[in-house]
Amino acid sequence: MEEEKNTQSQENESEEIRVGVYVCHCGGNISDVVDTKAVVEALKKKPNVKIAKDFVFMCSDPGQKLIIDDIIENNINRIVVSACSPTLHETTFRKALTRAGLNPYLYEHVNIREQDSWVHKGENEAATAKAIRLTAAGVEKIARQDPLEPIVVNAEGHVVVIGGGVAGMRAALALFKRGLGVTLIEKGDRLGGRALELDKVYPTEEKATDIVSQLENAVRSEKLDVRLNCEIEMIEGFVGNFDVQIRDKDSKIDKVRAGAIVLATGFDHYQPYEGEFGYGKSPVVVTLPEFNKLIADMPQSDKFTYKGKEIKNLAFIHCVGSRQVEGVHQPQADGRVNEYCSRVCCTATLHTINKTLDKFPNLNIFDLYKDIRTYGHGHEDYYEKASKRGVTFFRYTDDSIPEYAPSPNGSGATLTMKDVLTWNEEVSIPADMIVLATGMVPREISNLVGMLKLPTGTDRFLQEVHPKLRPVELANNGIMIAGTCQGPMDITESCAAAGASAAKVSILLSKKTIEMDPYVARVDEAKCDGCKLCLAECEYKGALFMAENYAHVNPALCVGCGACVAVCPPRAINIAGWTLDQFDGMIDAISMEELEPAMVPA
Amino acid sequence: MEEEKKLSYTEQIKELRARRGEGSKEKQERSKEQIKAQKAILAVIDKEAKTVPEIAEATGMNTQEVFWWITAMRKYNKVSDETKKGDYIAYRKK
Amino acid sequence: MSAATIQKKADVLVVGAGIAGLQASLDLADQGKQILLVESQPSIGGRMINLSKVFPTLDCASCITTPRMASVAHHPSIDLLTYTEVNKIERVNGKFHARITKKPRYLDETACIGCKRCEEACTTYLPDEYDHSLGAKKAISIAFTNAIPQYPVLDMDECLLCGACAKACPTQCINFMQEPQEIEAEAGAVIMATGYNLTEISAKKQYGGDKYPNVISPLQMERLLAPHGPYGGVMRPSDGKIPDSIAFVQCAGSRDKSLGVPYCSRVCCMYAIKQAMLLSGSLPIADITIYYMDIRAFGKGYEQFYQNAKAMGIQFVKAKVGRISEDENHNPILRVERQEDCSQPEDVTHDLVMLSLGMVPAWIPDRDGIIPLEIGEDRFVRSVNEKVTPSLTSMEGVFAAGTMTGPKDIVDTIVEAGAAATEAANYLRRQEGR
Repeated sequence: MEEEKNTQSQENESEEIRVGVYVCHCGGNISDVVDTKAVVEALKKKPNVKIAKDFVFMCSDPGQKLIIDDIIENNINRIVVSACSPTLHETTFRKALTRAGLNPYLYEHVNIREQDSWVHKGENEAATAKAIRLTAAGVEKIARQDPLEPIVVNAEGHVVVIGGGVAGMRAALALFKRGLGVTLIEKGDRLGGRALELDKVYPTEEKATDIVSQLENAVRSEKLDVRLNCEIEMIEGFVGNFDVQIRDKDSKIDKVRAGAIVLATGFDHYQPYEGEFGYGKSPVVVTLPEFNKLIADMPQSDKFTYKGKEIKNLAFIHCVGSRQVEGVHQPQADGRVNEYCSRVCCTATLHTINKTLDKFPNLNIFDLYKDIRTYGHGHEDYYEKASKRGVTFFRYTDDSIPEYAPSPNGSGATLTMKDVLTWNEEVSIPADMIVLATGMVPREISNLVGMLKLPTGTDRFLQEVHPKLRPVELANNGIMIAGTCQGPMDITESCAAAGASAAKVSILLSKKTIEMDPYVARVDEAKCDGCKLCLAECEYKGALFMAENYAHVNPALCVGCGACVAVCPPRAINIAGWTLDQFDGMIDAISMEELEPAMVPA
Repeated sequence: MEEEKKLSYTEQIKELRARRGEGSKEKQERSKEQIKAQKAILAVIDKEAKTVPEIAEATGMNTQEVFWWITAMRKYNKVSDETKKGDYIAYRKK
Repeated sequence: MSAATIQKKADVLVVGAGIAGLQASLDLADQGKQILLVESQPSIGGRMINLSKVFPTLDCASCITTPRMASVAHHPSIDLLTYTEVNKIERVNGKFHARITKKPRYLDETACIGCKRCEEACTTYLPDEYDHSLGAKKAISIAFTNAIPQYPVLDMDECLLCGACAKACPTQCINFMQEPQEIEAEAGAVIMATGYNLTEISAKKQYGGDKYPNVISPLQMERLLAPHGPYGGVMRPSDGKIPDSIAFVQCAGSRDKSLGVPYCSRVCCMYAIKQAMLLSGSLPIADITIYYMDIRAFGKGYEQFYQNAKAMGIQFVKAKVGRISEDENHNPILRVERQEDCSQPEDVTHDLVMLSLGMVPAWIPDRDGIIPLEIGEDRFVRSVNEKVTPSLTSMEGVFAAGTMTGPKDIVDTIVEAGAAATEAANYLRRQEGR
């Protein structure tokens, strides 16, 4: 395979540039706005373009076949596809080039969907003209492109899993069973994470501690490298070769080399602010986790007594710290509200309500909710059971969030709201005790986020590359996510995510080497005058250094950001695949004078 | 397998029709109906684009059936969309 | 008459090439495992390739599915069989033996070039199941534009036996007398990814989903919204009218004991919201109403998606729809009992109504045979370790992925398929004693 590629690239050097242009309809996503035929006709007139075609779905098999056939039969040696965003299909088409025996980097993906048809609906002529310019720029770029080879690095067959909760243990075990070395790092003094706080779990009614023991015993019997009371001091390196420094409780540092990292750093409970539904001001207002802990060891009884007083009326309020609305709810520390649904609290609340009624059958229970989201396997049963057992449900909206007023005698409180279920009647609910169904927030991991430049979403959870294409991978090559560090999930969902992460790590490390895109800085040593301006700009330790009086690049550490390129006076540095020469060509094409009459769509 | 290969498609059809017997006739009847329906619709939109309710009125067919045929003939390039007439699209023979 | 049984061997047999089966196959094949992937339909891609756009990113479904379809089709470690049924899987001495039948397409796949001339020549029109009968296909046709593989299927039951297709075929690949091909396969592990069906649209009698042409199913709505949909735009089936007023009835197939579906189907709120958003994009002046009890937007980014839909002007009405009838112009009339004000139930007329049907398993072991896996009360295949290893079935070495274990959305399905792949890979390693 390697040999084949090399002969191919040598051949290309002496060959004339023959560009094939393919314009995708995206089944109407593009062609409803852009006149794809006009784009094809305009591009046919461009120098170097030997073939231009349009097709309903270029990414489909018949679409890819058009390209492959033209490479083989018509000696096309540069390919431009004008279609969707390259994040979706650049690799799809590169693979097609490889199958046709062409260097996969002689490919340019032009985005005429997100950057054109989707944002210029109703401006069809202008969108078509834009598509022509963008595609022409792609042609100019690829015409100046040399064949490139991927950067190949060795891959360490060892994985560091950060976080010893259920997801972390689950991922660690799966990886270890797969034959990889695993170091499992836990900040606390025991494994199990948030699951240790739980009593029984829905819908199986297993004891959470049994689930933890099941996993922990497996971890122990497999003799995984488990580091309790340890934190991450520093992570350096790159995919295949991360250097992870681990600090133990005596501040001793140990180093582990890992090919990949799995983050399973979990969640924190939303902490209500002081006074939120009386929380922190009244002793009878508690959060759901606090309440669960409280009743866990209470024996069954006719009476429920708390702080020496009998509780007759118990109210639960849903969506505390979740599904917040700007202008209605108090923002969090970063100025944003928690817009997201915390997914598990509806079922968790109803699960707790049933458990509470098992112990204290005489309690009056009120449930104040926005929507009941008992979505999963067996969840609806808890809702139905609670209704049958006489729990009174009140439904509030963001316009009428329950108002908390402490009772004059200080023993309880009244919650006032408009109840949707009784046609917006204003109701006052007497509560001797109030339980707040608090949501999830990501665990505080700003040191890791900063150190590794991890992407987070507006919800502050770690942000996957794409929820469907790459749901358990971060944009950082070689770093996977498992469980609630990504967003609210229950134990089942966390374990599934951990299994999926393990699959991605196994794929990554199944070979001894890893291929990376070659879009990194290259120095023309003849042009470099050794001024060192570039060194000051490089943020990636070890990526750029001086030797023999000119700048050198470590391709494995360089991320191709281009900061060095911008400051180099003699234009000695270029990013492979994105050279200054290519940019010049693209800019000329985009800013070309009036389109020739023939190019302007009718 | 060897033996089947030797049969030309006309021979295959002949044998299968014989096996099918009366069933063949039913299908031929249906085919005739299908051709008739298409012809009736195409005749109405030959010179002038018309909407589904207009075609239904002209042909005496019900709107749902007309629309299904328009859909079918659109897909197989016998009919094209013309202008919008009120809440409807007017179709024309290609 | 039929050819000798073909023998095949693989590390893992994957049954079903929807998004779950595709993902599981790729996650295993990329680790070097040999996969035999069997799909009963003419094309891979499952239900997902049939959708318009997908929530919450509004990517077009094709754009997300086709790369995986192409990767599977070209993967050197994946042996793909389409239009093929698995009849029986047995576990013998720790290995799985499968009896498989490749159904006749009535053409020689090695000769077919996918040129569609047969389809153009064919004179018999049939309802197109890919468009859920809204559109038409021919008695010989390729399933859809981006189908993989691009071979047509001839529907012998409907074929007129006129020979037009065979005459038009440039490679003489049509074979009217093709027989089913029997295949025996041996595999070390099995992943079942057989997917879901929607609840029957006729199930709730008072909604008349089978009687009224303008009361449609969610998958039909997907086709109306899809690029290259049957009508080339959003129109209603009864007369091609572009609707001004569209309603969605939530929980029309779920959370309803009378239908035998007491559970929540998890995706209906989100697909209805998504469809409503797409409709408001293509029909900016239309009134769009969603009648619902609870909006369950619980996944990552889903609540924000719901709030966006509200901001776009889509009407969310907390109400029960008691029954549906229609007027003489096939306009559906909904009997609406609103929750928010104490008015009497009222009749509301819309141009087009979508019933949010629920999910039921497509394959049920005790009904359909093949392999005796345990099922739960909801009739979905049961996980024997739901919390920790959701893909584990009651039979050692058989793993489940996607909606066959319960309703779930695409994101959850893809994640679970990855987890099933991990379990299968580790099981194989254990079996090999390494």
